[in-house]
Amino acid sequence: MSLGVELEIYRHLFAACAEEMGVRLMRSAFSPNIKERLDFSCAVFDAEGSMIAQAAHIPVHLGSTPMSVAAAIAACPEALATGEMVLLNDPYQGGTHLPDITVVAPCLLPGQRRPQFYVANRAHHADVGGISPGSMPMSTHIDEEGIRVPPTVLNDQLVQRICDASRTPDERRGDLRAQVAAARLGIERLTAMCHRRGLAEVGAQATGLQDYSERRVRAALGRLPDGSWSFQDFLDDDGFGAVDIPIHCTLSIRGDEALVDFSGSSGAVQGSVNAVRAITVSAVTYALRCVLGDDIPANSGAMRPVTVVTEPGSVVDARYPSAVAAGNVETSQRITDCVFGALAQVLPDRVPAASCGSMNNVTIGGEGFAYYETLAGGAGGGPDGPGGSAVHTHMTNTLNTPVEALEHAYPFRVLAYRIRDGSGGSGVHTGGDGLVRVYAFDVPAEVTLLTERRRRGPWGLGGGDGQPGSNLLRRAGEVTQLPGKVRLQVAAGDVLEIHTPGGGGWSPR
Amino acid sequence: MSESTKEPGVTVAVDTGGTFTDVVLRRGDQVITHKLPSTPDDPSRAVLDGIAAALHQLETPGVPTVIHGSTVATNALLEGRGGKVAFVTTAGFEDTLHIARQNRPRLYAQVATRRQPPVQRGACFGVRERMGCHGDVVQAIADLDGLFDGLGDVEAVAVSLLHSYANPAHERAVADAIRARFPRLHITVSSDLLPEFREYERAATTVANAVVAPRMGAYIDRLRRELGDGLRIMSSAGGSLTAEETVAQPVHTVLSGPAGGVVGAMAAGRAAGMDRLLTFDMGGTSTDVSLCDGAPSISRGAEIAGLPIRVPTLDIHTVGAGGGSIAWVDGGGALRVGPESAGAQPGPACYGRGGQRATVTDANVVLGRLVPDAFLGGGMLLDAQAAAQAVARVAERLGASLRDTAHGIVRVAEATMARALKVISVEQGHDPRDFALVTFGGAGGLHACSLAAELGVRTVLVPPDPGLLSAVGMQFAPAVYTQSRAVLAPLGPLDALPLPPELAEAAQRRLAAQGFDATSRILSWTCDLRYAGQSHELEIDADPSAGTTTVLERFAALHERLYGYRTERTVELVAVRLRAEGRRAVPPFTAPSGTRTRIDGTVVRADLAWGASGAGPALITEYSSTTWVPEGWSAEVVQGGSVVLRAGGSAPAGDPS
Repeated sequence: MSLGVELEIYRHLFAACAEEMGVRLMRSAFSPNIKERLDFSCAVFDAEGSMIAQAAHIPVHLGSTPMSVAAAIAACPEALATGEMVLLNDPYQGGTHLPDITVVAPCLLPGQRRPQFYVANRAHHADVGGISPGSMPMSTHIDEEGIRVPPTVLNDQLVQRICDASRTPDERRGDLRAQVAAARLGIERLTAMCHRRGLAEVGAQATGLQDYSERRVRAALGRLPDGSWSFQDFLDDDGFGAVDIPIHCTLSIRGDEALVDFSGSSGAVQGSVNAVRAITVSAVTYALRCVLGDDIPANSGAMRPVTVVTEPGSVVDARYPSAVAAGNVETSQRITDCVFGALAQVLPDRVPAASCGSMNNVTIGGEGFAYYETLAGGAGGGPDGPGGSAVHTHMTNTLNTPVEALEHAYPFRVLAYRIRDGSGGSGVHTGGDGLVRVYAFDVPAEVTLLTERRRRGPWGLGGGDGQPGSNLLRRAGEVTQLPGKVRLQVAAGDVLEIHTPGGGGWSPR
Repeated sequence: MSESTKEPGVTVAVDTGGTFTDVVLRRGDQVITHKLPSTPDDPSRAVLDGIAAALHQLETPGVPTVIHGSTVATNALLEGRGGKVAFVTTAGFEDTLHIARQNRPRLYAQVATRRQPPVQRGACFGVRERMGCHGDVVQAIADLDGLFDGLGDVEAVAVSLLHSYANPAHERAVADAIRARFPRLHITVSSDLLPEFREYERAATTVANAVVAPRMGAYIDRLRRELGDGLRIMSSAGGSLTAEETVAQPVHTVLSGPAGGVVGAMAAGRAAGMDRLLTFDMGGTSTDVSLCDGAPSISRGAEIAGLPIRVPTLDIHTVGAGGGSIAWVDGGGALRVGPESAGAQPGPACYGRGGQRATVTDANVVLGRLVPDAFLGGGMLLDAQAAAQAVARVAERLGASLRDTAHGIVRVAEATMARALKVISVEQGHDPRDFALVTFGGAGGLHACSLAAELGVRTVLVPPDPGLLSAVGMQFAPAVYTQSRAVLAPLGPLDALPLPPELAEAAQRRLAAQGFDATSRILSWTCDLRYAGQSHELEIDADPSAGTTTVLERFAALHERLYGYRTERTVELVAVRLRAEGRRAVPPFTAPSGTRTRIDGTVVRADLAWGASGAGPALITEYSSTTWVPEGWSAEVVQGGSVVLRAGGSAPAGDPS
């Protein structure tokens, strides 16, 4: 039978395995983060830890999950070889930021001495301890962000430790159980596949699929002209005094390979906008996937022709003990903007203007509750048309929490939720508008905002920039402009308004 | 229509499809079928002509009961040709429809956008009022005068205020005020249609209802003028609605047609003694699949034209692969099938209408599984040479033989469908191996056995007249009336189940008024339960005699089956639901009338006798479908006229994949 036929059949087989895990995880998890906002991903790996297939709803997980599996294999080879699962969230050992907990499980087949496959799933947990409810704090040291688990054998004691560290232990226990159930299903499916089709064939096809993705990416890169293009963009600030933090990206194409070099970016900063390398790799993977074709299977082969260079200790390759809570959500967006900024110079007919550029993270905590959500903004206009309004872009795609669900569960209300008219950039294809969400507090609470693009709006391409966002506090008739990153106490009667950025406009150049 | 009359009445089921309108008439044991081209500009023409043609064959037709699967609501939404609608909500939330759930449908699209809802932002109005989440009035309604200015030129209004499921008073006051001012406007009130929490989904469903209401109202009027009061419309939930119910809540009919197929598959399965079924309806451009465990599974809704429609809907998933899906070889050398389809025009290359690109249908011709002169009962001669030429072009790019390429196209299409069926099974906590596959639609029979083998399914059922099964199924559809009520409160073992008796009484009265006597009226209660803190519910049977402890145990058991665990956490009762059915007596499937007892080589289905049997490889051809029996499978005509295919002995079933 032809190789081209087997490739396609196995693409579906492995994808089904990852999707089935995702369904099991989503349906059995406890927290809205996972069930309603789909902040999770599932993937299948070969014996070497290379990714074969992934079901990801969140692009920031794209390039980072393989690093989790590599870290687990490096740290716990014996445990994995005896069938035990490994859990981790340490950003410096395979993680991204502490709320993202990854479970790695081996697939042991009869007669084999070591795992022939692995499955992994990653889910965002609403609270893993640290100095602020929701574990997305204004931090300056990793220890302030919550419990940090290097790759460790997953057992009852470990689950208990995580629950003890969390402000919402029951939810953690339920979500972790769901992650384990999903991993078990993945292993079951892989075992059945090998039983039916033979390990030799399944293993060969797993390799074949990665080679196939590599061929597709090489072919697409080969069609681009050779050359080198640079782009620089800035993070607003780190919340602790550093402003206009530069991120620098140079994209070089040579033949059918690409080099993406972030040398020249800022060193790590005091606040939590530092990104570990896994996030930078994810951002590059995502941007290339957008312009090269999203029907290329997302596996390790796709990234073989691409080299990502980061300077250890920089804001795009943070090392212990840098604070990283916002690196995953905010810096990831700016890294993406940088890669697109460079790509726009070589592919002007395929790259849109900058989008919102922030996940507009809002965490509200108080007596017995912790709530976290992200707010959408405007999408950049592009060659294909105007950008959408009030839509999540690039590295995230999480759902909002229904106002009716939120008011049932938490002691605050939403007074308004609307599109922020006029905030998108001008152009032949305008940028989409951001949104406005207004919260009213019934009891005192602690609010943490981690927001970006409050100083300068998302850039246009041949069109106008989008409006920057703004955060306002209304208290006793006074209106205060809040910083982009802030932790504050609110009182009953206070009103918080978040205005998210519009997207940049696009016109032919 | 009267169920109590003993003399057999005439029932006519009519299914409007994209190409054909199918009519199945039944009186007692007498069955008349008729197929005529659909009339998309005004579907009622084909419906009325088809009914007239079928009735014409009866000596004393009388006034028939007509059960109709209609595409009017679906098409109004899909084609954006519904009525001009205003959306009224709580001030501050006018953009609810346009913000939706803030996500984008395509993760890697160059420009992130969503499909625009069927209401312009300028037609979304806010009322200054606020209800609290427990139904407490936070802010009373301010004046509505500003609102009326915007309603001058709309055909329908959707009213959906925050927390109206907890207290509908404000919504009713707003609706009453609008009705007083504009008595002719259609008004959909969210707390009547869908009294459940989650404001975007409730608003979208309410708006969808308002959008399709003007067209559906006019359509039903046209049919009713000709057909009188015996008209019933198939609902997405697999039941039938009266004309009045359809006019008031047309959104219940958005999956009218596919629902008929599932109900028909279930009936055919029961006639053959099987009730755990995977249904597989493969058409030209897409394939509908669903899972029935004793009964069709009903989901909380579907998505049409980007809008969530949260009304009880048979859980049917659509896969973008069908007989017309085009095969191609991509830049990395992989053989791909779809998503592009040759559609009806030009159609597959073998249709000889100028199609040059190979489709799944062409691959089946090359493999000899479609017999060129037996297609549509010989009514359409297939061009085998054109099929071979088209497949040969793919073979050249793939570097494989013609036959291997054709086989590959078929296997890739089957892999796509298997992936969908696997995911559905996990969603519902089942293992497909415990089910039989029921295949219908034009192309299903060619792929059913291979697909079954891939899923580990050992039994395939091919009902009689698989191309007419949707219409056949509609005759089995009971009258169905559903109601729900939001509760959102903890449920302990000592609490009574809050099943509102007034809902049951209203349902009984409604069915009685439609002529269903007490013995044919079946009421069933379910509770939406979840562990406190979860955000998805499970629907659990809650017959009043069961008691709360039993219901809680059922919940824990189902949770364990679906998700692998149960816990001691508090259980929350999110909503209670009532489904009231009026069941009609339907005669069984008719017996096969042929005389041939062996199934081998290529056989015509109408020639087969009851009990006819054989082993693959074999082909069973009939007017609307062809069934491929691969080597290693046996075939038998069973009671009710279905053909049952079984994976035999230790021989590998289906493909060696």
